[in-house]
Parts: sequence; C-alpha cells; structure tokens
Amino acid sequence: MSTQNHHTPEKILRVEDVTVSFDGFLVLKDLNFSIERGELRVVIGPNGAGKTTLLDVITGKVRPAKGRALFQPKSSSCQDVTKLTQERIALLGVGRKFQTPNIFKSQTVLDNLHLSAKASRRVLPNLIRFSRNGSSRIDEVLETIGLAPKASNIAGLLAHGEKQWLELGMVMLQDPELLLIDEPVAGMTPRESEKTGELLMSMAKKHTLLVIEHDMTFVRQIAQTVTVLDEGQILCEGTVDEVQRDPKVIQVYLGPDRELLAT
Amino acid sequence: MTEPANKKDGANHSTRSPALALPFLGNVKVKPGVLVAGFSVVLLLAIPQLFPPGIDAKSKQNWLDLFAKFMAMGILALSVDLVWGYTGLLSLGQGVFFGIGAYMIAYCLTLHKAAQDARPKMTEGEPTTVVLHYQGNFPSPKTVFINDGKYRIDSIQFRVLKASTPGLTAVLTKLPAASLDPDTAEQIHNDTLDLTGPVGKVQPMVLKGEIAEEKILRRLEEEGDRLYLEVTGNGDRGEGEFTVVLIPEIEEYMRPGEVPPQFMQYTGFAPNDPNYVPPPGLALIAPLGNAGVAVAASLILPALIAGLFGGVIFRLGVKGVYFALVTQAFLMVVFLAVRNQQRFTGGVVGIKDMSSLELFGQSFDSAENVRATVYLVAAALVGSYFICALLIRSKFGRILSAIQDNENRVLALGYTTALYKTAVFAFAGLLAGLAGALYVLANHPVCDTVYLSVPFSIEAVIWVAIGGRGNLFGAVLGALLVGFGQYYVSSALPEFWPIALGLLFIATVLFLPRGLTPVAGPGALLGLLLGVFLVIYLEKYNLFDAVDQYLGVGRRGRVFVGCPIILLSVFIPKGLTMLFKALMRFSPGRAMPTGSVSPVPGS
Repeated sequence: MSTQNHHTPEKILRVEDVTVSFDGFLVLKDLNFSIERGELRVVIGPNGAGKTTLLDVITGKVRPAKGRALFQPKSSSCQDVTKLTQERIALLGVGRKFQTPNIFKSQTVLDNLHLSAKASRRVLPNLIRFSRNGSSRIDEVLETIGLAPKASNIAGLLAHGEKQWLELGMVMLQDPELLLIDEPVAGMTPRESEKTGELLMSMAKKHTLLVIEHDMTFVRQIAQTVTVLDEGQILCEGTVDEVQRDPKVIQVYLGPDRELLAT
Repeated sequence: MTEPANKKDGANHSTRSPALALPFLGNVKVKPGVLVAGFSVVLLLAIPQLFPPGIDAKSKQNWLDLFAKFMAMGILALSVDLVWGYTGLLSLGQGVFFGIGAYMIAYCLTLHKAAQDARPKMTEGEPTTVVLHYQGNFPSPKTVFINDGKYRIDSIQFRVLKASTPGLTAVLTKLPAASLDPDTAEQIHNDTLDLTGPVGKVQPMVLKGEIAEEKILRRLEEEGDRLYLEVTGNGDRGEGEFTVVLIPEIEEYMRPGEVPPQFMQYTGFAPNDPNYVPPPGLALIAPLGNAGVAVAASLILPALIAGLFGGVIFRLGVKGVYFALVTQAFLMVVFLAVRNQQRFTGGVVGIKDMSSLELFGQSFDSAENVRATVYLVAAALVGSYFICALLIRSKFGRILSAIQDNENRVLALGYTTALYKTAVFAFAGLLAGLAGALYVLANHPVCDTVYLSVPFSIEAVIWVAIGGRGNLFGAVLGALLVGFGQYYVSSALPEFWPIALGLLFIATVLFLPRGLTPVAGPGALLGLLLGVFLVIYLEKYNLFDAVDQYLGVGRRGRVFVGCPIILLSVFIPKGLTMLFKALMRFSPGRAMPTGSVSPVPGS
C-alpha cells in the first residue's frame, strides 16, 4: 500500500477524516486521530461524543461514510481496517473489550479463555479438537485476572467485576497489538477499579492500549495522554492536568460558567 | 448445562465431578448420567425383541412402524436442536431438508416400483434353424424339439426326401408345456401335407398366425413348450424334414429409471414404440433408480442446499427472528414449488406407488420388512446422536454455544461466525435429510402436505422445546414423546390433538423452560420406552377394552389411560431414584450408627 511510505512507522493507528452518519446524524465528523505503538491513550468525552462509535469503526463493526482508519501491524503491511471484516481485523491484532461484559455466560471461565487463546480460527481443525485443558499461558492469565480459583465456574454466575476481568483476560489471551477497552471500570467498586487500573498498566507494557473511560479518578490513575472527544470531533489532547484545565473541556462537561471538573 | 462448581479444583481445571474416561475421546470425561442416557439409547436397538409373546402380527407391525417413524423424527429433532438449541438459530424450515431427503428416497422407490410393474421389453436375437427329421417307421407321435427360452416361429419349410405310401399326412403342432396331452396340441401351419412328393422340392408353409394374426400360436413362450411332429396313416412313412426358423425373443426387464413412475401419470408406456418420448422429469430423477445414489442424494443434497442457503443468509448477517422468518419463507417457497410442479413431484397427491428399499442385500419397508426398518432407523438415530455428541463436545461445538451466548465477542476473537453457522446448518441439513429418508421407509406416501408443511417444521421445534433445548437427549425424548402422544390422542380424538400439543407446549414453556430432561433426568427415555411397552402389554391383554366398556365412551377410554401412562412414564426412573434415596435416608440402619444424618429434615 502506498500509505505505508508517508506515515511514520511508530504510528500503530491513524484515523483519517472519518465521518460516521446514523440516519443523517453525524456521530463522527472528519475525525483525525492517531496513536503511537506502546502508548496508553485514554479517550474521554460526554455521552454521545462518539467514543464507542470510534471503537466500532476501528473494529469494523461500523463502516464510516468517508475516511479511513489505518492499522499498522508489526509484521505485515499497513491496512485500512474500514475495508476489512470484524474477524479479519481481530486476526490482524486488534482486540476489544466491550462496554458491558461480553463473555460466554453459559460456559466455564476456563472455556471462555480457551476459546480466546491463540489457535486456529478455521472450522475444520476445530471440529476434531476435543482438549479442554488450559495452557501455561491461560494459567498465567487466570492468575493475572485473579480468577484462578474460579476457573471451572460458569462465567454467567460471576460478579460483575469478575466478568469484566474475565473479558480483559480473554482479550489478553488474543495477544493483540492494539487493545481497545471500553469503560473497563463501569459499575466497579473503588477497590475493583484500582485493581483494574493496575491490570491495564501491566498490560500497557506489552500492548498498545486505547481506553475509553468516564471515571476521572481512574483516568488519573492510568493516563499518560488524554484525548477529549466531543460531538464527533477532537476537542483537545494532552496530560490529565492540561485537559482538566482546558476551558473548552470544562464547558462541554459542565456547561458554561461552571467550576472546574472534580478535583 | 449448569454444573456445580468444583471446590477443590485447583491447577487441573479439566477435572469434573465423578466421571469415567473413555479412551478414544482423550481427556473427555463421561458422567454416569450420560451412561444411563447412552444405555437407553442403545435400548432403542432392542425394540423388536420386547413385544409380548403372542401379539398378533398386524398389531406388532403397526407398533414397529410407529417406532421407526418416531425415531426418524428423533433424528430431525437432533437437527433442530443443533441449530436452535446449541447455536441459537431458530430454524422454522428444517422441513425443507427433511422433505428433500424424503423425496430422494421416494423417487428411488417409485422408480423401482414402476420398473417392477412394467412389462419386459422384447428384443429379437439371431434366427436359429431347427431341422425336424422323420424317417421310416419311427414310433409316432414323436416330440422333436423342446424349447429352452422364448421363440417366435418365423417360417417352416417342408421337404420330402423319400416318398411315402400315399395317404399319409404330416402335421407340426405346438404342445404347450402346461399340458403335454397331444390332444391339446395346436397345429401351427395351415395345411396338411401329403408325403408322397414331389421328392426334393422345398415347400414353404403358411403359418396359421399369418392369417389369423393369432401370434400366440407362433410363439414358444413357456420353457418346456414343444414342437410336435405327427405323421398319421398306415404305410411306409418315407423320409422328410421340417426346417423351422426360430427367432429367439430376449426378454429384458425394465431397470429402475427407464420406466416413468406412476406419479408422472404417463399412461401407455411402450418402450418398443418408436414414437415413445419419455416424460421430461424422468431423465432428471432416473439416476435415483440406483439405491446407493438415492441414499447419497438424500444426505448430500439437503446438506448442499442448507450450506448454500446458510452461506448467503449468514453472510448477509440475518439473525434472530429474521432468520426464523427467512427459513419459514424458504420452506413455503419450496412447498409451493413442489405443489405446482406436479409433473416432477407428484404435487398435492404426492408419490404413492413405492417398492421396498433394497440396500446391502436387505429390504426395508413398513410392511413385512418393518423389523429391518426399525433396526436401520434405530442404528441411524444412535449413530447420529453420538456424532452430534462428539460435535458439541469439540471446540467447534463450544464455539457454536459461544455464538449463541455472544456473537459479537466471537467475532471480536477473530472467528468467522458466518462460516461456523453455515457449517452447522449444513450438517443439520444432512441430518434432516437422513431423517426424511428414513421416515419415508416407515410412512408412505410422500406428499408436500406432510413433509413440507409449515406446521410440521414448527412441530419439530416443539419436540425440542418439550424435550429440552440445547440437550441432544431431550430432543430425541421430545420427538418420541410427542410422537406416541399424538398417536394415542389422535387415534381416538383426532380433533383434540392440536389442542393437546398446544397445551403441552405452553405448560413446558411456563413451568419447564429447559424442557423435560433437566427435571426427568437422563433416565427419561428409558421411562418413556417402559411406558410405551406398558401400554402395548395392556393392549395385548385387553385392558383397554375393559376400560372402554367400563367408561362407556367407546375407544376414547384408552386415551384417558394410555396418554397419562406415556406422559408420566418419563418421570418413572427419576421418581424411583428419589424414592430409593428417601428410603435410604429414613432407614434406621443407616442413620443411627453415624448419628450425623437427621431423620427429620428441618426439625
């Protein structure tokens, strides 16, 4: 692809002029956005800003009306993911944790992880595969997400926070290069939330992370760079402190003439 | 299926509650319940042995036919369960694939029947000449030729080699094998020959049939028909000979595929007629005259069509209720096509005229060979069950269940879910085709109103719902239970059956959302078989007649007794187990020494 030449190689994702329209309502407007390899980026923004839609575009769930999203895997050429199917994008190395826990609730924790682990995704090899044993990698992830004692529990019966961790574990087992994480601490207690933060920080060492979050305490805990999205456009970008001081951000979050965001 | 968490489970996560390892499945563990289920499935194979001694043949044949039918329905239920129960795709059109399988076998059987019923085709071989010679005073009359096949007499020539005493005559007659009495012989030439001469002259003879067109006279049809030479009168017979030219008539039996079947309504089939044009559908279905081809077609064609249909529909992302509607619409399209193309399908009348299926040197049908049919269907059901069981225990199966749980997650993990759904839909199509093929053997005739009707496909879903969705065992149980229930209710109160089925369905959805199996346990099928045989024995010993008379309601009495027996029988094994456990609990010998078990719970 010609695009490979005029982009710096350390950009793992480059969203260019993406516009998404739902029945005429523009959710994303000519959005330009990029992340460097190894970054932990947090995207914040009020409800309806287009955060989740941005992830939908990157994972191929939503096709933009115009624009492209270039994903640069380590070992192959740069791809415009807006032209690829969801599963192809996943295999290229984009993992996603959904906003509400998306797990296989009728299967055991171990089976959930087993299905996520790196292995052939084709139909025929899976017809003759009967083993349900974990691998050392699965055991490692089970330890990391703290679900080792509950490995043979039915996933649907886990607590909400545990479900979120399980899904994080599943995404980790995919070993993606770019991890998209949508509101990982929604509905979590402060303790759980802190633990999740630690989990994400440890993941950030090996992967590139794009996290969407509302909880500013949590954002402060993990964020290096924060991007603020509003009405489908980038409002500003910077460190947590810079962003919190930005009057435009204050205005969209709290309305005009209001005090600063929470401490 | 929910399994209790294994508390002591640590590093080795694959260990589950008490289990037996089967060597050929690697580390897949089999629970005792599964063994009970397996046992009752194997019991299906023993069905023909379980009838009461002295049961009359007609009634036994009828019951065996029902077993074959309902077990075939069980295979269809497995197919529905794979798609709906395990993958979450509600297909209201499994009847399409069931129907295709059924029609393939029906074509085969009706082609066989047509070939059996058709007159054999005649071809004529090379002429052979027979010389019948007489000389001197041979003992007369004399049989001179005994035929060994079928012949037409083409011509006879007579030649006097040495003149006889005047007044002697020679007659060549035909003596049919059926009656070797010379008095019944029929002369086959028109003239009585004077044997005095002229010597050496060849005299062609006029055959009787040539005038009267009684060709029958000119034929040696039965093996053992004789040509019979008689020279009458007293004196020297001289010497002479008849030279008979015989044309062998080779009878060729029609092969399946050559004769248009009855449903094509092609009267006046005459293969010898140069103007004969076979009906357009015949060439299309002719290959199915081969039983092997028909069986293969009944499996592969439904799988192929299901695969193509699924491939398109799933790639388009049709899901949920829309998928159910599309499958139903597909069924109706196929139904209308079959109904309107009467020349190819028999339309509303269907295909009626069928022979038995000849496979592996064995005949399968619903009459004298019904026993073989039951074995065949039972073996197919058990085989399908185990293949399905393997399928759902494989990683493929867990991916299917994952698709039902959360398709977005499966996509995000990189699995092309459309391919998985297409694969399972195609396999379910194959199973439904197998079910249809077997159903035909037990249930002639085949017509669209049975096999391709919308209610039938919906009923298949109801069997699964009643037996237990997402549970192979439940699917088979539901099919057999509803089958026997239907037989019992509609034999006496046909108009009440749809209401009964509806009530059963509503009750199941309301009170047993996971169907009967989780409640009745793995022994349910065993119980059902017990119940059915209990009813068979009760019928044999005329108990139902007594009930009918006592209640004075005609044949309806048996519904009130038979139905509850069949319905409740599924709970017998579970009930007995619970009773046994309760007895163990209250037994003082067990409770007293340990002192840890309180005899009265909650006291």
